[in-house]
Amino acid sequence: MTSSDSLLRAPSGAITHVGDAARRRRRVEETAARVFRGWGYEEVLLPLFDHAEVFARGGGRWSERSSYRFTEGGDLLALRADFTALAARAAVTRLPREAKRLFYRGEVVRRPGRGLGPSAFREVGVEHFAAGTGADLEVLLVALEVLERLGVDGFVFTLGHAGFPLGLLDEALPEGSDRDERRAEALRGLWRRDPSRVRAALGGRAGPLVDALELFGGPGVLEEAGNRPLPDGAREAVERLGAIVRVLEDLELADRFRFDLAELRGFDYYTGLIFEVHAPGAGQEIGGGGRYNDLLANFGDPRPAVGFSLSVDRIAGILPESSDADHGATESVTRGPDTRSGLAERFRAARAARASGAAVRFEPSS
Amino acid sequence: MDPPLVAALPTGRLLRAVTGLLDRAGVPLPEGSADRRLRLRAGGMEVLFAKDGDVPIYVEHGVADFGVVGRDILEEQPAHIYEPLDLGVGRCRMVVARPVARPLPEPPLRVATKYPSVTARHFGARGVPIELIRLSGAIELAPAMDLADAVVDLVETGATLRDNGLVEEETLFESTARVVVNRASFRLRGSALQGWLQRLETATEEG
Repeated sequence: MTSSDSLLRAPSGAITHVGDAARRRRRVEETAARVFRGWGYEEVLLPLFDHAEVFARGGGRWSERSSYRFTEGGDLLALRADFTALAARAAVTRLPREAKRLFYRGEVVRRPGRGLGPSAFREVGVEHFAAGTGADLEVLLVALEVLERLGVDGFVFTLGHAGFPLGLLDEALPEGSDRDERRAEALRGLWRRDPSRVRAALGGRAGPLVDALELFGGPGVLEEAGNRPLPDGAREAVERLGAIVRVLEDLELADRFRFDLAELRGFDYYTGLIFEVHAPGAGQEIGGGGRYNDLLANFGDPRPAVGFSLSVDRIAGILPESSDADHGATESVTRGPDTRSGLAERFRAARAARASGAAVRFEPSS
Repeated sequence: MDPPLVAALPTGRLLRAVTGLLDRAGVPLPEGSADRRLRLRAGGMEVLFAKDGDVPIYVEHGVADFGVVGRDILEEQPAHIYEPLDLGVGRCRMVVARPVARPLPEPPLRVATKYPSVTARHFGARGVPIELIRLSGAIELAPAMDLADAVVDLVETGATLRDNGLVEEETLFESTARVVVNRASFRLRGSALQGWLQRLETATEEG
C-alpha cells in the first residue's frame, strides 16, 4: 500500500462528519449539555482509554467481545467502549461523595460487528447517584426535556423494571446443578422475546414468564400484572412503576410513556427501572438507561445509581430540517486591499463587529 | 397516515416453506415472485426479498419492520432483534456428520462448514480443538475429497449426507422459520405488527 492509499481510504468505521452532519451532532450534544447543567449535572471529561478491567467491572455487554484492547507496559488497556463504567469509577475515586449528578459526552469505540457500519458512536448521558422514585423520575424528565428541546417528533419512552422479569425468573428456576445454564438461556429468550426459548429453559414452570412477554402497552398493563399472583420482587416492581406513572399522569406527560414488563435491554445488570426511547425514522433505540444499584459497589463504594445515555448519531439523523438556526447568522463582510493599512483597518472593523457579537467573514482582497 | 409495514423475506428454500402460511395470513405472493423482483406490494405490506443471512440485518437496522428467517441464521450471526414467533415450518437440523467407518484422526479435527460461529461455539464448549474450513456450499464434498474430517451443516432429511457416505453424529439444534421483529418497530408500530403476528400465529396453527 502506498501512503496516498491510506490518506484517501479511511478504515471501515472511521467516519468524518462534515457540514450539516457535523452541525446536527454538535447541536444534539450542546442542547443536551445545557439541559443537563440546567438540572444540576456536572460534566466529567473521561479518558479515551483505561484498564480493560474497568470496563469489565462496569458490567456492560460491550466489555469483552467488542472493545479494542491493547497492552502497554504489561497492562491490558481498552479504548473507551462505554461511559458508564468510567463515570462510576470517577465517582468513586475522584469525586466527593456529595457529587450526585454527572454528565458526559463524547465517543465510544467498539469493534465492528458483522456487516454493521460505523464502530464509533457519539453519546451523551447522565449518572445520578441517588435512590428512590424521585431520582428515577428526574432522569426520565431530563432525557425527555433534551428530546423536547431538540424538537424530536413522536418519541416514545418504554418503561420496565428489572425486578419483574427477574423476580418471575428466580421463582421459575428449578434447583439443580444446571440452574445457571437455565437462567442464562431464559434470559436469552427474554431478550429476544422468544417464548420457545423461555419454555425450553424453564419447562413446565415457564408459564408466568412467557405470559410476561405479552405485558406491554399503556399503563393498563401494570394493573393487569398486579392482578396476577406474583412473587414479592415482581410485585414491588409493579408498584414502583405505578408510583412513577401516577406522577407522570399528574404532570400530563403520560402519553409519552409506554410499559413493557419483560424488557431487560439485553443486559442483566439493571436492578430497578429500565427504559428505552424510540422515535419514528430511527430503526434502533435513540436512548435508554435505568437503575443499576450494584454498579458503584463494583468499584468499592456501594451507592445507588440511575442513568441513561442518548445516541447523538441516531438523534442527529432524525432532527427536523428547519431547526438549524445556528447556521447562517448575521455576517459583516469586510473587503479591501491586502496592504498593511488595509489589513489593519479591516481587522479592526472585524474585531469591533465580533466584540458586538456579530458574525464576520474575512474575504480575500478585492 | 402511517407508511405500510415492510417485511423482509428470505429467498430460496425457506421462502417456499412459508409461502402457504403467508398466503393464509393474507400475504399472497405470486408464483416465483422472488425470482423476478426484489420488492413488491402484497397484503398491504411492502415485501422485500433478501438472502437468508441478510434478513436479520435489514430487520436490525429497521429498514424492514419484521422478517422471516431460519434459526440457523440467528444462531450463526446473533442480531439485536426480537424473535417472537416460531412458524414451525422449514424444519431442519444442524448436525455434525463424519464419514462412515473412517477412524477419528489425531486432533485438531478438520471441520468444514458454512456456519463457522456455530461450529466454533460447539467444539469450543467441548474443548475439542478444530481446524475450521469455511466453505460456501456442497459441504459433503469436503470429507469426500479429504479436505475435512467432519462437517457441520443444516440438513432436512439427511439423504444428501448419506448419499455421500456421511453419518450424523450429533444434532446441535433444530431449525425452523422464525418471525423476527425490529425493536423500534415493536414500540412504534406495535398495533399493526401485533395484528400481523396474530394472523401469522393463527395461520401456523391452521397449517
